[in-house]
Amino acid sequence: MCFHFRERQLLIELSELIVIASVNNALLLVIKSLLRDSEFLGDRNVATPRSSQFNEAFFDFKVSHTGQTVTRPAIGIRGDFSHSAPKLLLWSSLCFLGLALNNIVLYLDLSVFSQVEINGAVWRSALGAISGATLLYGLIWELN
Amino acid sequence: MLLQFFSGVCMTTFAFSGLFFLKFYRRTRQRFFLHFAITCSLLAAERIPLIFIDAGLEVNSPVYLFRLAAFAILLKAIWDTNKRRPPTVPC
Repeated sequence: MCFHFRERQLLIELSELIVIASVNNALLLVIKSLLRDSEFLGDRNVATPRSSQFNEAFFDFKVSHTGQTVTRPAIGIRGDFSHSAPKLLLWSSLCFLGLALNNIVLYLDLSVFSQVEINGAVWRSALGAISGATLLYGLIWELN
Repeated sequence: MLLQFFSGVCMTTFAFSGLFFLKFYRRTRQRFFLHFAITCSLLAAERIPLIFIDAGLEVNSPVYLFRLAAFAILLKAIWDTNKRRPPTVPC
């Protein structure tokens, strides 16, 4: 099982795509975790008490009783972050920030420092491990 | 040695995170969690082909297509959940 990309340029372009996608993910998640009234989940038909309770714990969004779409400011940074923040979303965003950093290191390793040996594989694996551990910590700690 | 250790940590944590999100999906039936579960599973599965590839050749392999797919799925999930629905008229 050994396959290689022949074209190095193709690989660099692929890694650029990955960097862009992962940075986008991380930024979107960070912004969403900081939003005051998070409309993160568009799906509002969560009628069962169990799931709505879960969603309040998870995302802390408010469903207006009339079902009317309320226009909200695009970025309303919350003031009291500690109380009602969607904490798990914050942990997820931290995780994906780590992964974005991981991919930036990959891109640097491939394109900028291609001639220099910086032992990038170990650094990238370490970043990935820290990111995964962050997400798992958030999942276990915040929900129990 | 360090590389294998970190890869193992990475794979395990993402696999378990994927299982957590799958549990949330089963509980709430919201597709956002399913997308998250798929993303985490792909990030975990990415580590399996790396076993068979020499560490020096890692960057020359299409393993990163896994990662690209994972991030694309996550972007789609965020995009989907943020799509504005047409305002419903209150009764």
